[in-house]
Amino acid sequence: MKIIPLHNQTNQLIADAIQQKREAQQALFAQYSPKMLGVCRQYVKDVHHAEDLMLTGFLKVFTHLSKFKNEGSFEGWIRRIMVNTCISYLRKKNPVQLTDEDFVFNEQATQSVETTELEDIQKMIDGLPIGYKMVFNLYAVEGYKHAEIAQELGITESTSKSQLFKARKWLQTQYLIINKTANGVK
Amino acid sequence: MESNKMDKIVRDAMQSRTIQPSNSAWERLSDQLDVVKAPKRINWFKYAGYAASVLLLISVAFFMNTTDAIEPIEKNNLVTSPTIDTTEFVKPSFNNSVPQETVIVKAAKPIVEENNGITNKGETEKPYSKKVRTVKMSKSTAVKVPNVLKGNPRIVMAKNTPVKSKGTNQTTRSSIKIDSDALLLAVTKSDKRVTETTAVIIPNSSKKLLNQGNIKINSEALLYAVTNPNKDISEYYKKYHIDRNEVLKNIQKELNKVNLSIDAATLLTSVEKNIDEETFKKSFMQVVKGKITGFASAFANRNN
Repeated sequence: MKIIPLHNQTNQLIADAIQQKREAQQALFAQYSPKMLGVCRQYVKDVHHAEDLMLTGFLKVFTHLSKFKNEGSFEGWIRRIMVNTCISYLRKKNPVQLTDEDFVFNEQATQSVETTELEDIQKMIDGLPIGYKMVFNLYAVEGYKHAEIAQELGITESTSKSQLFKARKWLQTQYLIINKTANGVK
Repeated sequence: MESNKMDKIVRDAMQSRTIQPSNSAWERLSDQLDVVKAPKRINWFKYAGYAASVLLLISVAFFMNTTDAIEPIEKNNLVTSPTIDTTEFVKPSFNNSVPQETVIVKAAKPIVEENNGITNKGETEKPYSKKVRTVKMSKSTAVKVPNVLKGNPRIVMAKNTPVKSKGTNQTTRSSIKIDSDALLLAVTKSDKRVTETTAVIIPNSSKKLLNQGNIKINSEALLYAVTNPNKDISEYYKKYHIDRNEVLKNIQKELNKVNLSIDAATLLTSVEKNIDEETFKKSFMQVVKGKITGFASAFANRNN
């Protein structure tokens, strides 16, 4: 019963934001900016840098808000814009170098991953090479298909798959290192 | 499976994660939104200005064209006028005078010889007396050729000479070639008092010499040449048995009585210009006297 009023309220805010009403825009920003900053933080290590990317994403959101057709969730639409903004930035800054470095896969590395703290997971992701990070985030977090990832990054699907596989290996290795450090084992 | 499990844990952790942006985040975004909006407004005003200026120019041009345009003539008000032959022609005015710019009496002796040896071959060798004027007139125009011109070998008349012009099939015209020299000679020879005179066309250089006073001109011959009294006025004098010289003498006497220093010949010429048949029918002398009195009084008043 409470979802419908919230939905209606969001639609009204969107309508007002399309009319360039600053209060509505500010309300939408306050509602979605914390989540979107988390999204941007997945791709960029520095929080301030991630915030700049988030603001760039919100600028796109408010300038193209009339293109939102209410066909999906508004949050999903904003999230996709944020992801694209971050990927565009990373691709411009550092052309994606998809490394072929082999990582040693350790099956024991994932045994206690459920207990891993959020910050540790973020550190593991931050340690990924940019190519691995983008493919892993798009596939594991955002739910993209390999075809979409290939189209987004301008690579082939097989490359996307291999990059995902290597990213997983990297994370497991990193997790193992973190756990050993946390348990005092060297 | 282990890999998928890691994906799920990371997904759950990342999707639900929130990071509070800084306090200045909204202000920065608001500033960026203002910057994005401003150019749009400027562009709108700019294009509106362009459109307004173009409309203004078009309206001004339209207004100018409409005011300058000739009002359309309604069919009912159309007036059919006869086609005017635009071919330029000169109507000979034998009754009034020889054209003023082409005729003057020149002394028989060449001017150059009197000019202390300063010769100007360009001026003296100009064939003034051989200039031929071509006069074209419409066929319908009645041309009166003075008797004195008839029989003169230097006057060539061509009647009904067909002339083909562009755009028209044929045009019949009478062209008369008159040697102005011969014309003036004929005019002056009709008066016995004028002898040894030659008609020439005055060039500018000769006018200078005239101004210097090196040429002696018979004033009466010049008067006759200018007023062309050879036909009409002379006929009037003959018709009413009046001697022009007597008239001149009387005028001069009257002028002397009144102490007016007016040339009688000039005065009579002015009067003769305004004389017509009706004047003679009434009383020629009365009219002449009246007009002379009028001219004299006008002249006296002008001096005052």
